[in-house]
Amino acid sequence: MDVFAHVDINNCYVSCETLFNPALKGKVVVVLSNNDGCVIARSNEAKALGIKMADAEFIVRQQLKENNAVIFSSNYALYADMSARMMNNLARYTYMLMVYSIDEAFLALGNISGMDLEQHVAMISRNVMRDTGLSITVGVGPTMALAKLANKASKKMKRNYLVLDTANKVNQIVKDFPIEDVWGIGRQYYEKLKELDVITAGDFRALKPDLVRQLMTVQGWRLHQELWGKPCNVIKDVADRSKGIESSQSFNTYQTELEKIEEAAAMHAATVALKLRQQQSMALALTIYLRTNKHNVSHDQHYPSITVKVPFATNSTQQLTAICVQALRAIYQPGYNYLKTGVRATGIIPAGEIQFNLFDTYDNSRQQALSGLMDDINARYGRGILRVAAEGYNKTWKMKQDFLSKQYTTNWNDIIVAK
Amino acid sequence: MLRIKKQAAKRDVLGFRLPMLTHEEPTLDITDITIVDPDNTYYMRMGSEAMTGYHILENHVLVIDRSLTPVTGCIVVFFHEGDFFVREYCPDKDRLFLKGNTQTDTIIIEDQEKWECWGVVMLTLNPLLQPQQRKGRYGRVCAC
Repeated sequence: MDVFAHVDINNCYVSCETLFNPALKGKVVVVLSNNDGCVIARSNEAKALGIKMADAEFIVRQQLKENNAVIFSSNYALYADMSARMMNNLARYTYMLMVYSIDEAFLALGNISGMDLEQHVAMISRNVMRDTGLSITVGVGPTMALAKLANKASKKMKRNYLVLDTANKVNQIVKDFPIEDVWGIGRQYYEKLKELDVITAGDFRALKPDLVRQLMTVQGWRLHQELWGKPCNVIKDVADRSKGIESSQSFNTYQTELEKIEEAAAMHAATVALKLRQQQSMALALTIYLRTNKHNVSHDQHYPSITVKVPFATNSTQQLTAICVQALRAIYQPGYNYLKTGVRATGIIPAGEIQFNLFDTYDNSRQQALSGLMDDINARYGRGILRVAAEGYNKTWKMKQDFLSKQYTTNWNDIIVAK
Repeated sequence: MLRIKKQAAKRDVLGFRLPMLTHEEPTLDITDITIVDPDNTYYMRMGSEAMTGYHILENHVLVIDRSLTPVTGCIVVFFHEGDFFVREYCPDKDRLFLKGNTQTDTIIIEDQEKWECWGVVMLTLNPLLQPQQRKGRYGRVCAC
C-alpha cells in the first residue's frame, strides 16, 4: 500500500521567532499580519488565552498587554527562509514532495510494507525537529485527505505524529472526527451536511457516493473516495506555473499624492518582474489596481483597476515599471484616500515561447541582459540596492512593521551575537 | 546560503574556446569543504573574549550546523539565561560543564535534561585584513 504523509510546522511563525529567541518559550507570543493589522500566528499560550486567528490587533491589544504578550510584525524574510530549510529537510525523506503552503507539505512515502511505518515516521519526525529546530506534526495515511486528517487528529491528541495504516485505525479516528475539520469541507458544505445529520467524518463516509456527488460535485466525491482510502489526489511533480503573479500591500497611512503611489506601484511591478524572471516566465498583461479603505465609511470610496496588454511578452523590470506607472496615471483620481495598491501579471508564458511582434524594432535581449544584471547585483549587495528610479527613494508609504524581529538567516548584519 | 556559487556569474565568454572542454571541472569552491549541510547551517558572530583559548576571538564568524550531535570536546552554541553562548561541551557523570577560558567563563548545568544544544560550531572565520585594507568590496570580508 502506498502511503502519504502530511507535515506542518506547529505555530510556524511563532516557532521561527522562538528558534532565534528561545526566551520566548512558554510565553504568550503573537505574530501580526502585514501592516500589523491582525493576529496571524499564536503560541500555544496565546491560544489558551482564547486569542483567535485573524483577531484584529486593536481588539486584543489590551488583553495582550495584560498578559505580557510578545508581539511581532511579520518577518517574511525569516519565515520564507525557514520554510525553505524545512522543505529541503523533508525532501530528504521522500521521492516526491509537494509544498502545499509556507508551512505545509505532502510527502509520498511510497510502498514501505517492508519496514515498520510507525518507527519510520517517528524517525522522520525526530530528525527533522532536531535539524530544523521547528516542531512539526506528521499525519500518515493511504490518501492525502486521510494524511491531512491524521495530522489534525494527532494535534488533538497532543502527539507529534499519527499513522493510519490499517482500515481499523482509520475507522477509529474517523468515527469521532468532526466533519467541519475535514480538508475541503467549507462552511457551505458543513451547513448542508448538518441538515443530513452528518456530524463526523464517519457519518460522511456512510453516505452513498452518488448522493455525495449530487450534493457536493465531483470534489466532494473525491474527498469521499479518499476518506475510504482510495487515492484521487495526486502529488503534482512540478509546481504549476502560476496563473498570475501578484504583489500588493497596504500603505502605512492614507496616500493621496500620485507621486507616492507611483513609487509603491513601481516597486510592486519590479517585484512581479523579479518573480517572473525567477520562474523563467514572461507576462502578456499587467493589472494595476488602487483601493480605498472600505471599512472607513466616512471616506469616499474608489476601487479603480486597469489591465494593460503588454505590447510583447516581457519580464523586464524597466518595461513593467514603465507600463505600470503609465497605467496608474490613467486610473488615479485626486481627492481619494488610497490605502492599497497592487500589481498583477497575467497571461504568463514560459520565457522560451515568446512570439515576436513583426513590427517590433525593440531589442528585447538588451532589456533581458539589463534585468539579469540588476538581479545579479541585487543578489550580491542586497535586495533593492539597484532599482529603477520610479520606485523612489524614501519609501514613506512602506508598510507598518513596528515589531519586526531581525533577519537572522538572510542578512549578514542581523546574525546573532553569541557570548 | 551558498553565496559563492551564486556569485560565480554566468559570464558568456566569446571567441576562443578551450579545446579540452570535456575535461572541464567546476572550479574549487570554499563551501565544498566548509559547509556540509547548507539547509541546517546557520551563522552567528562571537561577541566576547571568553573563548580566546580555543582560538575563537571576538568578531569571528561562527559556522554552526544544527544537524550534528555534540560530542565531548566539541564547541557548542546554546541558549542560557537570555543569551546565546559558545563553549566547549564537556559532559560529566552528573553535571554538564560548558567550558570557557577561565573558571568564571565556564557554565555548569546541573539539570542536564533541561539543557538544549542549539548547534555545533564547525568552524570559525577569522578575518585577517588590516583596517586600511578594508575598503570598497574588501570591506565586506566577514563584515556582519
